[in-house]
Amino acid sequence: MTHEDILNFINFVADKEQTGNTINPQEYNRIAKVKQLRFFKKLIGLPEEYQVGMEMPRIQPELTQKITDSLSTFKTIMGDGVTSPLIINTNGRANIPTDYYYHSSLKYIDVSNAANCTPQKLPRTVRVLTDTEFDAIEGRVITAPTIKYPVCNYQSGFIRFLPKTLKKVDYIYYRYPLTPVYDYYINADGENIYLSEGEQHTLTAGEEGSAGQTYSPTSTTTVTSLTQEFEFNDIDKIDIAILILSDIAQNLSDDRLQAYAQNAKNSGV
Amino acid sequence: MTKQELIELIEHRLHGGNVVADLSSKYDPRIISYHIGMIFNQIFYETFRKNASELDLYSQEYDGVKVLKSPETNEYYSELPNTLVQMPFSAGIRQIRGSGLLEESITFKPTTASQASVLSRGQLGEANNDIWYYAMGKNVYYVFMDENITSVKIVMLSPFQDLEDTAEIYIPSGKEETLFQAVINSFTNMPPQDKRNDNVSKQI
Repeated sequence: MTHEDILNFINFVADKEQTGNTINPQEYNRIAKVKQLRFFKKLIGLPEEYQVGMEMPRIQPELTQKITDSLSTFKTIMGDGVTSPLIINTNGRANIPTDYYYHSSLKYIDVSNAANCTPQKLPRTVRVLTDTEFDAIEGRVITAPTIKYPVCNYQSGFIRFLPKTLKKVDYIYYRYPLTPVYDYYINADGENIYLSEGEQHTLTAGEEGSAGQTYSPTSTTTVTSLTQEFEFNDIDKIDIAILILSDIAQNLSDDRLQAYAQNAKNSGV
Repeated sequence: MTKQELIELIEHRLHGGNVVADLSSKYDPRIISYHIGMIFNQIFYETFRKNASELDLYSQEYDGVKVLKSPETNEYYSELPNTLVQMPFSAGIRQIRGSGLLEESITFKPTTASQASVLSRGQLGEANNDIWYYAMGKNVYYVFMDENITSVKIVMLSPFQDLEDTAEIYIPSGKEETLFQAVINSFTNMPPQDKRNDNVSKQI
């Protein structure tokens, strides 16, 4: 399902203008960016649903396979023998990746010599601690951080690790979704024609690119699509479309459309 | 069953079947290990009172333990290779013998610190080759030690938490469920975790 399909659906349901164009691509891009992030936030877990003594939202990563599949696109693995691991400096600190949004897991590979003199690799889960816990645990006797029981603590832009000698860890985190973009060109009849991801189009007489490129009779003007589709699956894209409709209803002060969108959000279909 | 297997078995119950149910320190395997160790010590003591010879199965053997001589007191002693489970009459040490073949004919017998001082002043040492030992602190001291013995094998009861993860663990017969339930109970009666990050252990 592309942006074109979603925008067509939105325009059909909203049915505000006789032309069928309730919102134009620029407005769609603005609203799609926000609604995608709000949908992403919902899947990661809404703090608004926390209750006293139970800091757990109704929806959270890996709660069900459905949620896991919805978020799998955004999972980034550093290390695991495939990509570069998260490097920890001699001060026991590692920089948080710039596209980081939410923690999933940290694993240290403890390599030692087995009884038969072959390398033995044992995975050790790195526990995430609060600031106070992290400060207190170093002085503990039984539960002090060791290679076998490493710990970490998130700070602004970096993660602190104990013991400081870990050097590298395998890291899985959820990255931010890419900003969705609906790109198009304007044909000779003034209609917005959708350009799919990576598509190129050579402008003809009367046509115009979305960035203002124009046809030139003396040279060839080719526009390359800047479209970035939603990174969610088609089912989730429908949910995002409903969220967009909800905001459009608010913008248009359309109570019936608002009720439709709210009902769709509540029932999930 | 190894030490690691026993800890994982109890973790599995505490975590409700999940591999990692709680990433906080509530069920740290090292804490579980200490709890198991305390229950084991109780079982060891009960076993000691009923039939001390049964403790042999639960002992760990440490070979090549160096015999040292104190320059101040001229006493022969060895540093215990691991922490010793405290038992009356040094019963936590199940056996000491020489490491070499010839030295195996020499008998090591347990005594107490006060008896050892009496023994050392008498002539018992001239009558046979017996060597007497007693545990004190982190060391085991010898009376009538043969100066040719440079190392010994020590078979001793070590606390559960100090054993290697791969150490084979034998639970005394009929005590399996007692051990399991006692450890689980010690965790299920814990107060709930304070999740507020405010350095205050209890809210008023």
